[in-house]
Amino acid sequence: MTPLLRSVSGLILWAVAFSAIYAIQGLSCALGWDAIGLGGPSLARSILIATYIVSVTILAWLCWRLRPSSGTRDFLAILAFASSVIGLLSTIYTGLPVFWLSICS
Amino acid sequence: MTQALRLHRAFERIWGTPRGWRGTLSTVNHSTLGVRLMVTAFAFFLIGGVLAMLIRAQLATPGSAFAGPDIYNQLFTMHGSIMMFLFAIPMFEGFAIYMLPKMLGARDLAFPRMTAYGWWCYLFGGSLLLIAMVLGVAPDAGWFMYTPLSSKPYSPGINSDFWLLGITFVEISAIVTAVDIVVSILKLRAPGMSLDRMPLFAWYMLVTAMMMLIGFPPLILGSILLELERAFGWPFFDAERGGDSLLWQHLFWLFGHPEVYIIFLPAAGVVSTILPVMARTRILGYGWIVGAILALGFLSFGLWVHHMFTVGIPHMALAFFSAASTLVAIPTGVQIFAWLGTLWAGRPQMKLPMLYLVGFFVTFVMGGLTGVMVAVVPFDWQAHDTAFVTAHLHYVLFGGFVFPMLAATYYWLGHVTGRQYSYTLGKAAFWLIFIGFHLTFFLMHIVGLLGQPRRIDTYPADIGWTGYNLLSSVGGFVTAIGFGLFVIDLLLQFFHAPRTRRNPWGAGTLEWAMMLPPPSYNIASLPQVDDREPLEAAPDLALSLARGEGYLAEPRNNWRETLAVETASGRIDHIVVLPGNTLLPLWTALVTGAFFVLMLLGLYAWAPVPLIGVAALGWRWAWVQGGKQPFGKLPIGFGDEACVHAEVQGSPGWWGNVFFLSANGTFFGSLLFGYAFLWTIAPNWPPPELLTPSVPILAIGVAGAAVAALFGRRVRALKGPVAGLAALFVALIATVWLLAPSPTSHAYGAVLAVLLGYGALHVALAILIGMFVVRRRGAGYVAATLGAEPRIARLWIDYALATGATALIGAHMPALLA
Repeated sequence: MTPLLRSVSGLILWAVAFSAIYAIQGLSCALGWDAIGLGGPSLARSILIATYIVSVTILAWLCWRLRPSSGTRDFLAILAFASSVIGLLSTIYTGLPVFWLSICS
Repeated sequence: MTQALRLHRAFERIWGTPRGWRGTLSTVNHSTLGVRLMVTAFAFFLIGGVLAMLIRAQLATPGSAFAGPDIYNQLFTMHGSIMMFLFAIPMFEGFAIYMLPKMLGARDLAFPRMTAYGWWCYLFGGSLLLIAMVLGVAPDAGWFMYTPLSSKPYSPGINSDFWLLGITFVEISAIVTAVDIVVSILKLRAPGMSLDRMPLFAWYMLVTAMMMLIGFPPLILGSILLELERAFGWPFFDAERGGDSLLWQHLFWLFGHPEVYIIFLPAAGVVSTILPVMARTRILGYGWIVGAILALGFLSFGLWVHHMFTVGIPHMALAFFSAASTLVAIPTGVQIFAWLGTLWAGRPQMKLPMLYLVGFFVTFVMGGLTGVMVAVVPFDWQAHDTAFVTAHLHYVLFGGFVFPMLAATYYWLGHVTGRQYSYTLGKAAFWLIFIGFHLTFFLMHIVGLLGQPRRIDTYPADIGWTGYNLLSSVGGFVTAIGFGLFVIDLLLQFFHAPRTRRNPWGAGTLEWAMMLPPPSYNIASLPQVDDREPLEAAPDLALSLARGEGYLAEPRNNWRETLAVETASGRIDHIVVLPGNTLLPLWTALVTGAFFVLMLLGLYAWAPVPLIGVAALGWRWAWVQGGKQPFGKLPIGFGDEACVHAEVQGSPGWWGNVFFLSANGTFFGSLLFGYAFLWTIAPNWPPPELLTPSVPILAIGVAGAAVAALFGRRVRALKGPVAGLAALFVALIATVWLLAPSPTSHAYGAVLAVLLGYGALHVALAILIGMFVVRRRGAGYVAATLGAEPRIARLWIDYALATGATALIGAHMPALLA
């Protein structure tokens, strides 16, 4: 079971990052963090961007960690690497709106 | 007497279904039940199709008096509900139930009684909806049942209750079948079939069934909450009392969008199986396809809000879901290109299944492209709730599911009937269906862009929609005639075609390594697999397996034996002894049905009686399995030995409970989401009155949970943990009974009641399971001493204490902090 779980770990992390970013966005609006300024970006945007960067970093580390040794024929190991790359690219793409779109309107 | 015939008779005695009504009612055979599911689903498809014709008859001309608006609302609601819940899902479930064990080189699924229970639940639940339709009180609030339209003030009749209870009944069948499928794929394969040697269809079904386990619980939760609101006035979706109709939309589409992929993936699995055979080559990019399926399985959960683009959600949230919706086209594209590459690399033949696959390609790609269009927020704002969306979803579902399933019918029908295809009616049926479909739905794109909303029962004559609608209706009837030909073709083939030869298409997968039609036990011995297409290297595999030149070739002890393997490597793990024919599934489904009928009739005081009945039957269900005599290692052929499943820790039963509890965990997670959503987003919060916090009650509950968590873990003792759970149970009941505000006054009280009730129910279940295992141990059952039963009880205890303690703390904390 563990090899199978590892082979989708990147995608699980994408799901966690996606849910976390969406939840923080909702919570920020409910708690009014959008209106709290921190000099530049609002508190809400700062937290969102920080979550985005942390997620992307973790996934990039996972890709490095799961890189298959050259010439490996272990199907699940290759799958694990592929899913971490998909997870990384998906997180980069689906999280992009945190940088500029209006958070609560 | 030849060896093959001797084995056939011996196995048939063990696995066969007795003649007569008793055999019919008690069978647990996967081939029989798979065919039953498919036939029932096809019957529902025809009913749904007739409803579609009635819809098209109504819309053919402006100002039509064919069906009034009330009947029309029932027509489109029932058409959608039947096609989604009673046709598409059960159809692929039936197909998977029939086909998976055969493709995987097993003799049956992991939980044959569950397979039977699933079919009965589906049949009874679906029948409830048909009864509603015959009585003229069918659901009429649309197949996604938006609140407040479906709430009591706007749908006062029994119509919506039929939907909520009937569909939930059918969903029970979906959940048990999904568990059955996942465990069968992970464990019940032929020796040597490692995950990367598995047929692609099994990968597709593995991901689909996992998605069902995660995707269906939010809908079941939503349905339960809405029924509680309608029956008892608990205001989950009533904005005036702290509810929010958007909560329904979230819960529904958390299920509803993955649902599209749940329907598409099995059909794509069919394409990936048939296409290489038609092209006389192997599938191109096996690994790429597996990666794409996994990506689809996950990404498709990040799309649900794209059904809610127009409800007033902030731009940033819309953009997340728009991005995910466009992203999901990429893994779909990877599969399309793998299929095209396979055609390119092979020597394709335009046989009948291939013709239907061409229909799939053309239609599905168009549906996918309009999907990318509506994934873009500004376009969606224009097209939302118009006929354009109706057209898009029919291109995706008809293209992505119906065409592949028609191809599958022509490809595998000989497998089911044992007869060869010899008529050309199927070709005429294809052209009628193909042309009729595109005529109906292509025009709907245009009339949708011209502004025609979906679900209207009539429209003015001078608005310019008449011609499109008339032609759409003509197309609809052409499609129907095509399906009429298809049915005639099937009947002709069933009654008149000559016997087929083995493996008529020259395929490489294991389902063709058996007699046609397949015997009750599938294969007289299990093959050793060392290739993705075992029949390619050994075309005579069917004969050698029938002669018993594989594993488990000698029947013993009247057992229904098949092998379980280690998940990843496919190494032999143990022998699974499957249960035989029994009436238990039927009885359990009937008692389950009694609960739903009592709810429907409003006899709420009586409703707990069948629930106690289900618990008693569940006890019996588990008790009759296994024996008191350990067997140790038994020979399985080729000099190998293995234990039976009752004597190992990782039995299919253990795995089944793990996956059932993951679905259950999703249900609990959705409930917590609902609690948090209402607290932060819904109007009229905070509630007028909070729970009265009680530190002693909280302390008793948490201490009980701690005792259950810490005691008896290593030695698998159960009495200590059960005592701890009892304290937690008391705390949960005391909180809901003495401390929580009334569930009818505000959504806060309603959510607390459900949360604490859920915790108490699971704690009670875990206590029951713990007591069960203690009794079994005392009675000397092997599975309760050497086997997995104490481990399963521990799993339930851990789940119950975690959810129970979360519910208790989650209920107390906000009040304590306030």
